[in-house]
Amino acid sequence: MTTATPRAPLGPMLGHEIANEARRVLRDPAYTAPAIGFPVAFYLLFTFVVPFGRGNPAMAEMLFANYLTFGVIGAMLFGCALPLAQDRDQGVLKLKRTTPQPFGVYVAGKLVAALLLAVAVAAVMSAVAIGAVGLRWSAGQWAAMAAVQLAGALAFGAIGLAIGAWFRDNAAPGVVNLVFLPTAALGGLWFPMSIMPAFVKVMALGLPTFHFGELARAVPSLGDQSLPLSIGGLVAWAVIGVLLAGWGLRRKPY
Amino acid sequence: MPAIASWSHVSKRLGSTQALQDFSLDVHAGEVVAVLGPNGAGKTTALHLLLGLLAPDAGTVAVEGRDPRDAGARAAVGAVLQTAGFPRRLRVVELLRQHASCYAGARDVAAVLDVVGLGDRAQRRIADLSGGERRRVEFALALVGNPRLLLLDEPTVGVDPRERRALLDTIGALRGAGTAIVLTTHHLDEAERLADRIALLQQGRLRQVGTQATVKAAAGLRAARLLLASTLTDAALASLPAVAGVARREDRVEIHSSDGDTTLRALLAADAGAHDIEVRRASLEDAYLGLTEGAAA
Repeated sequence: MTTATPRAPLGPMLGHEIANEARRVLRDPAYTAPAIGFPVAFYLLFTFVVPFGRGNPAMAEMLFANYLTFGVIGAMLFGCALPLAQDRDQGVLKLKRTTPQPFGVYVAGKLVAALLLAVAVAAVMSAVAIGAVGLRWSAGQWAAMAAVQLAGALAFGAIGLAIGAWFRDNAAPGVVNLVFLPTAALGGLWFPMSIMPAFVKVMALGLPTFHFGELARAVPSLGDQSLPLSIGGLVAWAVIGVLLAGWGLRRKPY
Repeated sequence: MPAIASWSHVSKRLGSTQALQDFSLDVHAGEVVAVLGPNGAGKTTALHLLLGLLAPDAGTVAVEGRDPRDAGARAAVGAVLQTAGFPRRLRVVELLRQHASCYAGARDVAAVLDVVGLGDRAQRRIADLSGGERRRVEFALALVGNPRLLLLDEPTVGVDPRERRALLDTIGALRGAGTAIVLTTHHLDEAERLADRIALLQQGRLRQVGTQATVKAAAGLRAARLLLASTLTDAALASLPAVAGVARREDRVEIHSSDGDTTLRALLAADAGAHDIEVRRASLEDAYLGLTEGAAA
């Protein structure tokens, strides 16, 4: 006997999934405090205390592009990797697998919730840049930066999901930090690439943080390499993230 | 009557253990089937197959004629699992609404919360609930999709006696409404109270399946204790057929019989004045222990 079972409409399903994931991430100070606090603190530190940016408008723009990118990467890595790893360890993923909900809805919930955290980070960073540092960009520049950040955020969301798919709840935060902090520093997001030793400049070509940073720096025309190379590097890492995440979730579905 | 759920000659290996071996069973609308067996017998594996969490190595598993891994089949099934969980920062009602949105014919969230006795806990965070309340949230999640098949993997673990009774009443009411229910439990009194049929699993094989009477008979359990007031002497009682022992209990006498029916017939023939007769049959627990020990030996 096969009865036709009507499918639940996708819109409300997606809406509830995203709303609950957003509540979960934005209600938890363990996500929001470091995600917003660290990039803002670093940005202020290197702009005012260590006076790279003082009296040098180009440097101030570069620092904003770098730390904004740093903040968005952190929000996406932590916001995607940790909830996924938690869901597996707490049995949430198993419960999800028993429902008729398409798995894509679950993934979309993770990505959008992390994106909302990234938007919160970007809003605070932009407010500081405009209010405290005096950054003045055209609407076109802001729009370009928003597009770059969205693209980079999705790439790092995929990398975050890959980490969440392969590591347990107790290991995932450590793995994220191990990936995030060194690749941010070596990818030129903490200090300008120009002061890095030559071997770091070569190594950076293999890092998604460098290519994302280059695209962000290109908004105020401060990028070093060609745009296609940066776009290619970022897309390659997005594909690697998607493949690793898919492999991990197929290997251990719940 | 067509089966809502069926396992047909299912074998499943998990790691180095044969979790299920040539397992076949049908479950119909409006019946409670209790799957019993020692830990590691394959009970949870059997449920996971019906949920599409596992695929069989051999044989077929079907829910309403479909592969359980099909989303359409999953829409018909609700489950309380031993190891499933949910994000602790969400409120009860937020979690239920989201879960309900996955099912086309979902029940009203407030009504389901009332059914499981969580009507006044709707706005609580999951993290602030007691263990028993969390178990009831899991039960509410299983019910909210309005399932035609309900799978309950040890649903009363960690639940206090009052909550447990309410839960068992709810399960009974769902059966009355036509839901097919598969229940695993180590509480044999729960199975005895609820189950229309018992399936006894051991080392991945189906040892017995049938009504409680069938399972007790299979265990060779015709034994019973008779309590009655009789004019016969103890020696006369002890000489009745199948009597294993006689003991005085105040104004009555207790007779242990290896075959309650035979002893009772002989007693009534010998003593027409016997009265206040009470017969205590072997329990499902006696049958379970007899069957599982027999196979282990």
